[in-house]
Amino acid sequence: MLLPAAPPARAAAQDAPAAEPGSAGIECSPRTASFEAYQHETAVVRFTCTNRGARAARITKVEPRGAGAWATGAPRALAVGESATFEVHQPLANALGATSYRVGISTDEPNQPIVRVSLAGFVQSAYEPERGGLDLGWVDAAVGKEITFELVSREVERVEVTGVEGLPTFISLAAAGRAGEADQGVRLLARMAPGAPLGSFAATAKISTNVPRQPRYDLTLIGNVFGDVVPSVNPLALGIVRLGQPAQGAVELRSRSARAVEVKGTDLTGSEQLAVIVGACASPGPDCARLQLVGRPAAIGGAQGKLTVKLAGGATVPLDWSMWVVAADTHIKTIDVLPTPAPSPPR
Amino acid sequence: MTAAAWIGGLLLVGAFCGGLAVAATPAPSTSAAAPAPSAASEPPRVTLHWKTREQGMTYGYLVYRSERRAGPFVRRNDAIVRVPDDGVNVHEYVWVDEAVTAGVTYFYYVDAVSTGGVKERLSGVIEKRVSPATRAPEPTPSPPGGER
Repeated sequence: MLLPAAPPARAAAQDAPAAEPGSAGIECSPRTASFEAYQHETAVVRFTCTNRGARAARITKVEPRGAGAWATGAPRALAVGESATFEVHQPLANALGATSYRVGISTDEPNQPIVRVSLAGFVQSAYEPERGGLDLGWVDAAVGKEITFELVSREVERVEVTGVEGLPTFISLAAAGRAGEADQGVRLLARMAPGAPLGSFAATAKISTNVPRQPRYDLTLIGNVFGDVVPSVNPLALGIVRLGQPAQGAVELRSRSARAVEVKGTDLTGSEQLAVIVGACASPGPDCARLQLVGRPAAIGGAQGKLTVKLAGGATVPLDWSMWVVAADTHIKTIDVLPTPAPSPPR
Repeated sequence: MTAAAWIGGLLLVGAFCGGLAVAATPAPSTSAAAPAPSAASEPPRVTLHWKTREQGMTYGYLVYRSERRAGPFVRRNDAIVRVPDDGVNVHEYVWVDEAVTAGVTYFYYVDAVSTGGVKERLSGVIEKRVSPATRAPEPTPSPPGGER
């Protein structure tokens, strides 16, 4: 079904700072436009630019920097003393809390090629939890899995789910009872059917409800589907790697039915510098194989990809890997926090 | 994380060190909570007062109301009651519910909403019966959500 169009968010312009005497020709106000809105609304704000220079000028482009944003009103020529108003539309999607977006207003003034303004506001959620996430954990492909999620909104007396979109065919999400105080919320049942594709998955359910101010709620579902051969970790995180230093990480593949695990080949995407080495597990045996990703990354930034392991007999094990490469002299802070244990894969 | 704490007043809950007080008209009191006493012509209303010590992470407050103590409670204020950006961390707030009916008992509580957008219960439930002693003027239809 189609989701209802999000209404525009209410916007209020803050007073701009006083113009600086002798400043460049085009002045735009407010410098920061404020708004208060719900998730999935579009904030709409207006900026007025005035040519206070000594010659005609031109606004060549109004460029909102936020994702999915657009502007109206440009290009526009401005005679001396003339003003023009530009409207910026900023979809808020799943933003939450205090947030801001930059806007660049380009001009043909040589001394003032760009005037920077911004939107700053507050995005609220009509629901609890304010952001939706549901981890299905490890899922046996032969069995599937069911897990519940409670969605509450105190913007209405009784939340009703009117539709769900965006999920792959092997996952369903449906109302399965009431939840919350006075049954104000709804209990959702996520069901992964047997036979889901192996490997990690992430999907976002776009849930339609009867909550007038925010009729859409996004629930992100993640998990790992395994067959007979189970990886010890997935994704395989190589962590933060200094440029020029070796990157490495390992994963063990073990058969739950104690069948032989023989690696016939691997297919690695996402990096030219990484290689896969196949070896024996820490507890060696024919039912286990160890794969090590090693290499020296050549470029700074995040990297990620897929490692598909082909086994004798035709089965494949899809894995994800990731790393973050920093400059050789980057200081890496160690934060003293309790480790969060990753959920163990099934044995 | 507790974004704000109560200071003084009635109906203390949990770790909060403050409370929520209400006043209602008709039968206005001398409390600052009540509007000017002209009950015969004033529509009924409930005025909520609360006082908090903000800890830097509170964006504002949400008021919820029900006609039953057990709920369901539904948000009443359309615009978030904002924490003033004045560098002071102790503030008093007043919020008026004008969409009330004489003779009806209402239950209220207040949530804090953090700058990160997360809601957190701030007060306990407070009960207020709007006195039927003085007849209110004929009610005018409220839009959905009352005076929000």
